[in-house]
Amino acid sequence: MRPQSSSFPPTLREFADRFIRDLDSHDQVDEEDLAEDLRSFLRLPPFPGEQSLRRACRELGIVIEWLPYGSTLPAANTWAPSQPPTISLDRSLHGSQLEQKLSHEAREVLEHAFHRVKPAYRGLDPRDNHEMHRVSQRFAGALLLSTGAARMFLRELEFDVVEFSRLKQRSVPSTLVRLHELFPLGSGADCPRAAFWLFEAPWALVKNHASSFADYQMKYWGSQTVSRRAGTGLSTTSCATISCRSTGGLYMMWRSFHML
Amino acid sequence: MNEQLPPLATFLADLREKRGLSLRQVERASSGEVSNVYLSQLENGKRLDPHPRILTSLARIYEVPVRLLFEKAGYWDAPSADEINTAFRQVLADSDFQFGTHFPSDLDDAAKRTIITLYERATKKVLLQKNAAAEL
Repeated sequence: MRPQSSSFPPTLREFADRFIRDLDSHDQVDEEDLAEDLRSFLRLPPFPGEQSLRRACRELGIVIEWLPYGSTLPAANTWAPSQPPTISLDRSLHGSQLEQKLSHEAREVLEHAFHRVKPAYRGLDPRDNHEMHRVSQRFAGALLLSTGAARMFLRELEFDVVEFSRLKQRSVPSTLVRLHELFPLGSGADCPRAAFWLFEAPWALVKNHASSFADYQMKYWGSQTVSRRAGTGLSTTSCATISCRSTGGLYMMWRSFHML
Repeated sequence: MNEQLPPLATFLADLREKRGLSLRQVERASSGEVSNVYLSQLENGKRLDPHPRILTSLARIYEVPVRLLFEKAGYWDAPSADEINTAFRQVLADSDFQFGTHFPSDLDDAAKRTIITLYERATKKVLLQKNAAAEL
């Protein structure tokens, strides 16, 4: 049952107003800053799990519910007049998948909130998946793996992506994408580098365990720091197996090409 | 083998498996309205014409919209692409309703239908008559 709530929950309004007050367009929004501001505002831990994220949504006045049965979407968000913002999730989501989707949708709710609190703000249209999707993914990565803490842990683990993912209960591909942002080429990090390609199949196939190799399309690629151990001790096949197990659908390939 | 079964048969078997229910548990949950023998026949494709009351009862137990079972049974056609696109344009035209999706590209018809359903759920408006029946 939906809680009685105004159409613009006060805590969400307060945060949106505070963050966007001095910004005029989405080009000025730094996703790392936004994630850290939200973390500080809601006292979220550096690596928030499902319970922390659900609490954060509750405090922001965002309702979480299930998508209608038969949906082919993993997640969606809506905000109707006289209704609180709502994030709808596929029932089969759990663990790191659920956390990633929840964070992704929360970013889009924030974008709606920016528009509402500051009509002059030239923001993104969350209905435009081509642009918003990328931004929301970046925000989700920053929220789930805090910049400072993630850098420190990765260094302590000698950039062992697989071990880091296991300890922080994140998927290997999502950790790799985050690593790409935290330690871009040229950052001077003393670690091995590799090229990687991430492939993803349509969600409807993935959740029904019906995806085949031909269904996967390249989603993300880059060259990134990887652990000396992971880069040399694991074959491409085993990395792919690990990533498929951990995400249920994201297929990863990587190839070491330059050991510093 | 499964490819030869009617859509309703595989759908019902899948739903029951996902809910972790036995045939007898479904019978009890339906207060005897859906006997375990009859449900087994439905799932095996040996019975093709369940009474709408049976489908309504199963929809309640499995917590799915009745329309899905009616569509799988062939009692209703799923909305056409034109109907979905017309309804989706109405959602887009409502500037008071905001939405976003976890979808990396343009929405396909199934995704649009989900948004339409969410819109109808939130606004109490009816854009697709076949969705309205889901509230049976």
